[in-house]
Amino acid sequence: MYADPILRLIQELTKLPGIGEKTAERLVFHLLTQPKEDGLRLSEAIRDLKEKVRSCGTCYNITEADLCEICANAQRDHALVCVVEQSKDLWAIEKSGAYRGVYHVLHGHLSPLDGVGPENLTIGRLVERIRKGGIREVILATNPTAEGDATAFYLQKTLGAVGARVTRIARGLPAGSSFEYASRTIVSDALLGRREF
Amino acid sequence: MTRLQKTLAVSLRKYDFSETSQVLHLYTRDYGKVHCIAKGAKRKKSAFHGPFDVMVLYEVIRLEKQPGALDLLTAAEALRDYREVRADFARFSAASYACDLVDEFTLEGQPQPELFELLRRMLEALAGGSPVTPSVFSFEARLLRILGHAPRIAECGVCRRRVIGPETYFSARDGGAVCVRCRPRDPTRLLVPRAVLDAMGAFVEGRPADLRALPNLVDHLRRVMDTYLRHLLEREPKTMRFMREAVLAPRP
Ligand SMILES: [Zn+2]
Ligand SMILES: [Zn+2]
Repeated sequence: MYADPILRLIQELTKLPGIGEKTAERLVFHLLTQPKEDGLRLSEAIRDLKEKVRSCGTCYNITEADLCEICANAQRDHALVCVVEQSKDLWAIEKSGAYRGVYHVLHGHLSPLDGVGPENLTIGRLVERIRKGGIREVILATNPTAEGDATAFYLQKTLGAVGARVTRIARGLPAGSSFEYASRTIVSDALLGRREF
Repeated sequence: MTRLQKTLAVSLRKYDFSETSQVLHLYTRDYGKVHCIAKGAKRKKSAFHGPFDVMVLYEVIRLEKQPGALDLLTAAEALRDYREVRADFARFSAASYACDLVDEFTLEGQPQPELFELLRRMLEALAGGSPVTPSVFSFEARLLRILGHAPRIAECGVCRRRVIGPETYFSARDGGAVCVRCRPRDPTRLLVPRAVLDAMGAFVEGRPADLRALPNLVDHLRRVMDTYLRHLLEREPKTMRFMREAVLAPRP
């Protein structure tokens, strides 16, 4: 039987995606052989991640400050809002270099199967943003999956009802996939080809 | 022993297994519920023409593994994605609920082709614009019947006499109707107008039910169904609150 600290770390590591018990064990025994400072640096990095990184007060992108670097940038077009499911989708669009507007990160998609409804996403805050005025167009860039589609249609109705002009990116991504894995050209084509519902 | 099997399947759930692979819960026509892995499904080029999605009808070829191991999908083609249900959250909720109920009520490796057809017809109906409320009740009632859980409607579960009078108890523990004289001990019992159980009986037998026979018939029927399903499953499925909202929402 392993000592308690070893068991605890194995347990925590197996909670990570793609890490089974064997891999966790291997990682733990690797860490045991490493200098103390290396291990502590890892634990500090994790602490910093959870303590210093939070959601942007406006768009819910991950940030270290009150406002994320995109919301804080006066050069961006703040009247154009692109709605994505996750921050990683936002970064995929940023990498394409094809977008100069700002974002709104939903932190998920509508999924009754996972118990996720509109109140579990940042939809309410998006509606508030639109009500405040100054937004010319909302571009829906949810992923082309069943849940992403359902979320887009829901947003179209909800945001349309508060008077926003809502468009959706063109279907360039294969069904079931996500922005995360799309190429730059596909992302910029999808943005350029956006249209009203 | 492993063998290749080709069948139709509705995807109930998907999980990311790794950067490129997905684990799926499929409800198949010929083999019942199947948990399987689609290796490389999220890669740009795979045997599957793109990643798997939920609530899609596929033709799949699977490699059956030993009990306890995940089956391997070797090929799949999407036949129908019921895209229309995504356009309306009430429909999407009802479709999710249908998949969830099938997942919750079934174990792997127990083929029930009737249940597969029921689920497929339900998704087709919701995509085709059938009204959500009767579609859901009818789906639930038929599912219960296929699984051998059809509630007793006409006679009392305690004294076995025909239930008469304007009101009847519904007791999940006693399997359905209980007459007023026999007042069930089941703490979740519900006292409902007779018309509520009549409507339930109609849905179970596949007859048309008049949901406007009473002003709050739908609310009563919903409460009865919810109680009964929660009793059978010993918990409330995640999709139930979404389905309830879809069924009880006033519709134009
Ligand atoms: Zn921001
Ligand atoms: Zn009785």
